[in-house]
Amino acid sequence: MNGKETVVRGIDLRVAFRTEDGRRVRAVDGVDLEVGRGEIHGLVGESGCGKTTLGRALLGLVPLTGGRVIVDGVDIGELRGRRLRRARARMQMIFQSPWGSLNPRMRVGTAIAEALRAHRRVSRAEVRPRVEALLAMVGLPAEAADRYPAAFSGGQRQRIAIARALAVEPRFIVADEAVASLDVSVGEQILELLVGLRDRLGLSYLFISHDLGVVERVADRVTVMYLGRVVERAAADELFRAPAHPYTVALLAAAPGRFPREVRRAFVLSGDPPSPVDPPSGCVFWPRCPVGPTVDPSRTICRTEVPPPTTVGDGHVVACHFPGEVRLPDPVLR
Amino acid sequence: MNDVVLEVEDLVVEFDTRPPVRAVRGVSFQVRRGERVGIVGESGCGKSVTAMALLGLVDPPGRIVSGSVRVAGVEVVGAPPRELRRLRGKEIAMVFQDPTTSLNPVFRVGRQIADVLAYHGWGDPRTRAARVVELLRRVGIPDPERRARAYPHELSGGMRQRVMIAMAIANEPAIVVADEPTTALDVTVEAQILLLLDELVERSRTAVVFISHDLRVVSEVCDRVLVFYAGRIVEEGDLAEVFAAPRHPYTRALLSLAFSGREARSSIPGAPPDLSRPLAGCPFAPRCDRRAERCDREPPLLGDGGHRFACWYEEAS
Repeated sequence: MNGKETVVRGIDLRVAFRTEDGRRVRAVDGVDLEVGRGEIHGLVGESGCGKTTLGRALLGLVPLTGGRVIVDGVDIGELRGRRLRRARARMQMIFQSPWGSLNPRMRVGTAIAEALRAHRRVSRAEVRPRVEALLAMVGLPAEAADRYPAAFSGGQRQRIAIARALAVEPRFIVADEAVASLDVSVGEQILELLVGLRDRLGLSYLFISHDLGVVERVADRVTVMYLGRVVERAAADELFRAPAHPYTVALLAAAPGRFPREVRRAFVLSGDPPSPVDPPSGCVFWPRCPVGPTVDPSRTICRTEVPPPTTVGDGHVVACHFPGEVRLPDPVLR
Repeated sequence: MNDVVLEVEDLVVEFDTRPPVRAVRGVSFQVRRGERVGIVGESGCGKSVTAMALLGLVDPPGRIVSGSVRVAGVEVVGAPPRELRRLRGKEIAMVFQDPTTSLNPVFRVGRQIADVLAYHGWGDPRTRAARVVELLRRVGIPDPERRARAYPHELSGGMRQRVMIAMAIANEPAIVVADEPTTALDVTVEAQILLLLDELVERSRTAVVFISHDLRVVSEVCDRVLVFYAGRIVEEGDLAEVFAAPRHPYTRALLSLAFSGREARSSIPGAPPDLSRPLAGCPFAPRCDRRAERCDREPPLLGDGGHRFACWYEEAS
């Protein structure tokens, strides 16, 4: 971890749900994850891969079926009452839709003040200046405090949600698809804001996104998930330059605009991501894998054994029995 | 010139809300047989409203104020409902972003495709059933005989979108309008659907109007691109040419956001203009780094030729 201090660490995290018909879904199935101070850790994967559940598990928003979350060296599973609340206040979440996280009937200033008071005693006189300082931090004028959320555009509302998250002075923020519903030009402004806050306040982020282009832009390290498990993790430039897991390769090849059509055609996966209710045995990726047993029947190991994490480079870990076999050509940057 | 299958002339669409919003402000373009045209822009730029207008689907409070839309030579603006129903499906078909809302949940998907064929008088029930299976096979649905009997909820999102595409091409229309057809899909499934659209068009003479907020997606499927901003076309041209040498500052900024890595990012400050107000000059001027005095006074014209753009600055250079 380059000697950087770890802010949040998840160890062998497991989260299982029951579906309506009583079947067990392992949404997160034995995931280790560390986020260092000042790090933007990208978490990518397709719907149903468990990325959102993992983010919520780190914040204690879903009960764990296994594993531990360590925040600043303390296992938060062992904390109760006020100490637990205080530990939680160090972690916040930003959602995709700023509509969902703001009460339409509450003035923006009141909403931020509410968050301020939730975790700390603040005198009446302190509130307004603090609210205005928070608004300034996210690039909004002080008058914004007196208006209702409906008066703001999507990008401005996301700024308000960020100001509210910052009110409790968190050290770690889970940003779940924070720019997915915004237009590119507005999304870029929010990305710049998030990176700027990291630089100024030393914040750490788990940055969850389905959009590899967005992750490439902001992340220092990237974790790739597939069906509840981590398939690959590396420094961002390494992961985008030399992905070693066939699924990561397929994700990059599929991302629109990165490669010429012929490359996409050559790497496109068949089939849909399988259901987490009934995951394949062994390596969860084998039924769609271009170098797995559906192509080479002698590779029975993929169907029978879960691939252990293998180190293939400095901080580059991949869970594959045959890592690095599928290689991408250099992307065409226009 | 009868190669032109779609002709839009000075289209103006307004929403009679309070205050009224002029969403499309004088848009003109043509699409030729077999051509793949991308319409890109951010939310509120008028791209989806334009798409709806192509099929005569602008409903109150929306209203076509002026202009003309001709599909295969037939005027859509002001056409009687009967005529529109004949055109839709037969000459022009649409694929929407969310297939769950455009498929009927209580009918089997095969039946829904057969209905579209029957509506336009295609064959008899037996040949239609065979045609449905053939269409499902063409859009890459495995085991099409069985899947034809499935209900929409029994299919994945990608499969449902394939069914929508099968339905759209059932009567071999001259034009398919696809409005964000892959936006709701996962990236590996999106890649499959884009390749499918690509192959289908290569093998037929159907033109595609592909609407997207994402230039990266458009670059995968289109030959020509129209960039929309604030209800107008600000740049239009051959895709490779526009991507290699964008002339409008807005196109340039969008391209840089879509394709550059982390070093060369340049965000666009501000937000698009309020479309409930008249626009005196260039709609992009308030956000433009090359804004000059003239930009605030006079709206730049799109100009002529294969590569058109609406910018005073570029004209002067």
